[in-house]
Parts: sequence; structure tokens; C-alpha cells
Amino acid sequence: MSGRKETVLDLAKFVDKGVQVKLTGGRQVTGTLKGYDQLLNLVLDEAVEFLRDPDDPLKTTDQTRNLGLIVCRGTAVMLVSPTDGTDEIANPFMQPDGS
Amino acid sequence: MSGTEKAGSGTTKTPADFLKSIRGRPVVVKLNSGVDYRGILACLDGYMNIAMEQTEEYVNGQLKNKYGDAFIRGNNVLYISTSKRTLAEGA
Repeated sequence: MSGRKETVLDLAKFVDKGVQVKLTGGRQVTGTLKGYDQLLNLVLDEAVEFLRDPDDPLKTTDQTRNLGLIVCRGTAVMLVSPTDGTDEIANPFMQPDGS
Repeated sequence: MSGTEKAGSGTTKTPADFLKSIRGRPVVVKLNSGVDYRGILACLDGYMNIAMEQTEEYVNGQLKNKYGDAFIRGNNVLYISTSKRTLAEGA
């Protein structure tokens, strides 16, 4: 294969920086990006998984699970975003009258 | 992506022309899971991998997250939509 195919987003910019990753099926992980490849397999260090609400897989709770050094398989990656520059918004899951 | 022959002046548009034309525009991207992402389309490739800026995530119409930058892996993409009806204008 002549020449390395360029990707739309140079993940090299995010190496050694914090990223958050959404995976198909609803899991969500943040960590320090240590490596990646063309298939978007990712190596994250100090990874933290945000556990999901048991009743609704699209909701995440404040509970976390420390995973340490992990590989995210590229086929499961839906979205990658740097944690720097992410805005915190009011918790959309909080009921106004408390639950 | 392979280069496209220039057809008559704007009379026909291929999907590749559409994809080129929406760079830099506000778009809505729907994923297979039903989640919508709204933001500025920064970059797009032949696998439909997408880089977006000022991205907002909507689940069932509710804003859930904001990302300054976001990269979406193309296999998840159901469709990409612009708010303006550019194709209709061209027709």
C-alpha cells in the first residue's frame, strides 16, 4: 500500500492527553490516550469507566470503575473527544423535584 | 476519495459532491443507536469518519453533552444532514 492513508482526525494530537470515548452498547470510558492504530484500537491509561444506570443504558451515573491500562477495540469505538474543552452542563438526568 | 468529473454547471450532484459541500457547515449526524450529534463538520473521509467542532449530543431530543471537539467512527453513522435544503435549491 503506497503511502499511509490519512485519517480525518490526527489522534497523535491527543496522545498523552485525556480523552473520553463512547463505545457501542453504551459504555463510556475516560483516560489518557497512550496509543492508537488505523483501526482506531486505542490504548488508554488510568482509564475510568462511568457505570450506567441499570434501568437505562443511555444514562451514566456518578459511579465509576477504575480500569487502569486498557485497550479499546476499534470496531466498538463510536466517539472520541478530548476531555480538555468539554463543557460541563447541568445534570440532565436530575429530576427537578428530586427522585 | 477519488476525484469526481465535473458535470454540467451544478445540474447534477453526486454524494461525493454533497459530502465536499458540507465541510465547515452546521450538520446533524445520526448514529445507528439513535443519538444525534449537532455541530460544525470539520472533516470527513471515505469511511464517513467525522471530525466535528462545537458538538452537542442529543438523546431523544434532550441535550446530554457538549464536546469542543469530537471524532465519530464512520461505521456508526446512519445519516448526515444539513439544516439548509441545498440540494432542493440546486434542483
